[in-house]
Amino acid sequence: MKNNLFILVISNITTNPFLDLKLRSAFCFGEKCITRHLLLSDIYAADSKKALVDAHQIIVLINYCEMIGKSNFVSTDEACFEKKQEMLASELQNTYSYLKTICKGQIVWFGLESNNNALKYVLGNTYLITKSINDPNKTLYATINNDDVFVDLNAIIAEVGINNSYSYKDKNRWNAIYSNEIWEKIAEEVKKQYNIFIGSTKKCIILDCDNVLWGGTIAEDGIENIKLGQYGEGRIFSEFQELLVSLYKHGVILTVCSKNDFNDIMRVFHEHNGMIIKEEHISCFMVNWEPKVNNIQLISDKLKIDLDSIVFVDDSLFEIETAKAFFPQITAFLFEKNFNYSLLSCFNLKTKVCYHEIERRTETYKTDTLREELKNSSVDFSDYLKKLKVNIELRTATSSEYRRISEITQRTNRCTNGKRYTVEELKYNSGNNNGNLFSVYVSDCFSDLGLVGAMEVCEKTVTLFSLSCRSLGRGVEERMIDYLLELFDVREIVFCNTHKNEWLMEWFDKKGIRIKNQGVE
Amino acid sequence: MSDIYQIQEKILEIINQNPELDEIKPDQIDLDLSNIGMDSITFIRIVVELEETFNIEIPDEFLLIPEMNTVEKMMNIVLAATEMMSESISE
Repeated sequence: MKNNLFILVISNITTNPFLDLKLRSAFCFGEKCITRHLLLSDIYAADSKKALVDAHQIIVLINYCEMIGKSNFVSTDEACFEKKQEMLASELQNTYSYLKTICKGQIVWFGLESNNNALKYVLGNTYLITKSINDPNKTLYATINNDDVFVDLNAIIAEVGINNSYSYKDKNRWNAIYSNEIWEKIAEEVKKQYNIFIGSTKKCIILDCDNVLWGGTIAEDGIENIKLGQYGEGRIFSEFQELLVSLYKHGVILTVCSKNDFNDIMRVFHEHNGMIIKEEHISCFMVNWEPKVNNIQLISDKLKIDLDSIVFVDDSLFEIETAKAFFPQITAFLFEKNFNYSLLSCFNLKTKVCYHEIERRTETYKTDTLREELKNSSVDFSDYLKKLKVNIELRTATSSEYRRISEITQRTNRCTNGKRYTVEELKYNSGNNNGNLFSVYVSDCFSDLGLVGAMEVCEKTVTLFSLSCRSLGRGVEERMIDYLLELFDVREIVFCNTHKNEWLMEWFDKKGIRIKNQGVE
Repeated sequence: MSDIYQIQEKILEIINQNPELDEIKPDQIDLDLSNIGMDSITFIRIVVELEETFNIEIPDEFLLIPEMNTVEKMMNIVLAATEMMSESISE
């Protein structure tokens, strides 16, 4: 989270008094969230440039009816209609291109909508109205690059309901088209996109099995009688499993915590035709008769995932309340047949992920058991490292690695100097020769962990030091700093406290590297 | 009388929620709010908040800063609007 987050809203309707308070409320920053509103017509003015450059997030909300003005009618002349759509799409593309030349922050572009167009009540072919919005939206969606976001405003209006989405009073008084509910939803969406952008998401889900992954209890009902499939009650659980696999494919770590016999659970995973989640999707099975809170802690320790990054789902209110009592920072949901899927909005998942990285990470977690056994059989830590055959490779970072490096800096809270980078910032630094950026690859005798860390040095100052938690415990951070000392003779490190990285600050201090404190995140 | 006092208190609370404005005290009900930072954006925000808080609709002819630039003017408009709402409900 940046200090003093600056959000710029660009629109052709009045947004300030309505959206401003909703944004501040959504971000809960108070004075740390600065918002500014700019009319679409003013973005080319010289005194708007600073705001465009400085904004961390640029929200674009263009109202279709305001944009096309008095020609707000769907033409029956198809050629004329097509031409108008092309011109509109072109104008939007040009606006986006202009913003991209100036803005360093993320652009969140809300698509066009025209649900309050009165013509829909009189025209026979209402699809023309829909097409008048869809065509420019489609063109713009294709134009917007990977780091920016196109938000479907129609979907938000569908959720609120057309009848609840507009305020004719506010439209006529101050050209503020939307209702309170829509302003709130827009602010929530902006907050969600920001969370996705900075990688602030729950990372892991701990799942009960009986009456969560399937209906019934395996111990009592047996594999033949549990409810799981495309029909009847079993469909509830199939659909939930499908969603869980989607979460997995978007980077969420799936784990199982069940009070059952291990063999019974594995039999379902291996033999039941209705299972959509497979064993390879699960990073950790904690199946025994121990208290679930003990197992939750074990999962957190084993996978090195903080409890505040974990979601626990169980069908037992007792287990949910116990987990919350023991671990107030955990997010826990009761799974019921009419499960409210909106509860899962605590996951803020990027749509573009590297599936190969996800598989690699799951593999690392699975092989951690083997590492643990090796460690227990070793004389000391040095002996363990020797047997583990850790291979650390430090490379000059290339542009193809920026996405992964940005993700590491955004997600890591423990082994980090607190510096967070966006892909745009990495590209900017590279283009301006601001420092030397290195990517860190780690493998051992059990698995290849891939790109797990990054470092950046500017003259004798370390400006970035970030290492994924799953690669800790192998002496990697030691080798990283030794490399910096050897090659660059670093004297100081820029540090921002994340509340979880104080140990690293002390560690650098002991190495004789001066801490250049940048405050608290 | 206590109703008027409560309305005054609520209006002061709404105004003082805006960080752009200097804080205003109960003895300043005739202070011109434009002089302490009220612009068109803050004005709209206050109007929306007044309407939601008191469940009223302020007539359009009063939606101008000169018509509602003091706490006292706002109180009078809120009272009038509240009475109008009560009359229309009883009808």
